[in-house]
Amino acid sequence: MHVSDSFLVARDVELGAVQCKGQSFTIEPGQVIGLVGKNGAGKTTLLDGLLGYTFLASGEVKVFGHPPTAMPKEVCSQIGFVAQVDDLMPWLTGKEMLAAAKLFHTHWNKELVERLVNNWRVPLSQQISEMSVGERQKLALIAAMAHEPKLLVLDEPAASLDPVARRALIEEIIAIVADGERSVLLSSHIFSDIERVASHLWLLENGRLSFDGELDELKESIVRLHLTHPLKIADSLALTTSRVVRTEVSAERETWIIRGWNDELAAECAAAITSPYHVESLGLEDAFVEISQ
Amino acid sequence: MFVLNPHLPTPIYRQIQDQVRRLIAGGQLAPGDALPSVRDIAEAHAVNPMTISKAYSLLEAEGLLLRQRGKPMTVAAPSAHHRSPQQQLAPLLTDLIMAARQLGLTDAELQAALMTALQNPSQE
Repeated sequence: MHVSDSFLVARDVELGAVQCKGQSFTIEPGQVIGLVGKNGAGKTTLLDGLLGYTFLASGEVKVFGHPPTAMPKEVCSQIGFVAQVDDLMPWLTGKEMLAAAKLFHTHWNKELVERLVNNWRVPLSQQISEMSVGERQKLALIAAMAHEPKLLVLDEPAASLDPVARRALIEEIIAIVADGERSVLLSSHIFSDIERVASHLWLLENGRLSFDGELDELKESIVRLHLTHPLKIADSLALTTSRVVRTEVSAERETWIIRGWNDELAAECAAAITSPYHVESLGLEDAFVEISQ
Repeated sequence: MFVLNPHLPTPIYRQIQDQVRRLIAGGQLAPGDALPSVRDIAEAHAVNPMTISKAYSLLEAEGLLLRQRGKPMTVAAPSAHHRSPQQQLAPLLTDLIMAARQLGLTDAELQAALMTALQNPSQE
């Protein structure tokens, strides 16, 4: 893949809680990147910095080859963004708001708007100030997707959506990236959604991206190794023990939480451990909780 | 055609790989049969298309599937992917051995249990 194909390239980004000096990351066409991290980890700060809503303290970001704080109009129209707290104008009706958003774009998919408004039952004739939080979020999503941007960035898009609307949003995201030419970056605490929709994951921990790679790779690299007492270990377990992030020990058994599990470690354990043991793979939520402790 | 659960610890691409292998081994998928497109599976199951492409690519590398430009993936001819019954049984045996070790059974006890089960196949 050529670097020039990247939709977004970020280097040494520092801004508030985000301290990614020495790190670089990209968004490539076709990717759906899930941005996860504990509350206060800096997810929103990072998104704001990447899209130029805030100036970086240091570092460099290029979105479609341009610095995000000085993007030409035609580049802006390649981006869709939904903030965690919507910035809709409360005195407009839903219909007026969509009409206003349309003015900024040369391309506007009317069918998409109609489909989503109907599916999500957005009360377009109502004033935004009268709408529920969920309805406002749906309206903001529709406004951000209608011009079919190449890069769609969603900050906690599902927080106020019911499960049916969330599934509909996931299906839209899948359709958006299905041809491999558009990308989505979304932050979310709803791991079941991330597991479905994301191809890649950015894990923000203590202000840094402690993981940047394929979702599957993270899921497969974090395991619980359950061992039974008395331990019988015939040989060195140097590789495996070097990857242990935490242990839980009781009278009969102990559990090692391992980050960086792979075939090599599995082979080392199989060769060295002669007492009963069991390797438990983890879902994304469990994996996240284990490594965040 | 697939049963996919994104919330299992087993990644989706592995779930697809396992199911395709099983469908081919069981004869439900015959050589030349076409597989659903990446897009169709992604939309039907609401899962990311990249993870499905990854499963297909790995199955292609394994020799189980064939990719032809502009056509759906098809099941490869059997010579390319024939696995002996022993090879197909191997993962189940690994699971059995692991379970026995977890229970603290010796190898002799496991063998004895297997012999007993073979002689009384209807009993649990």
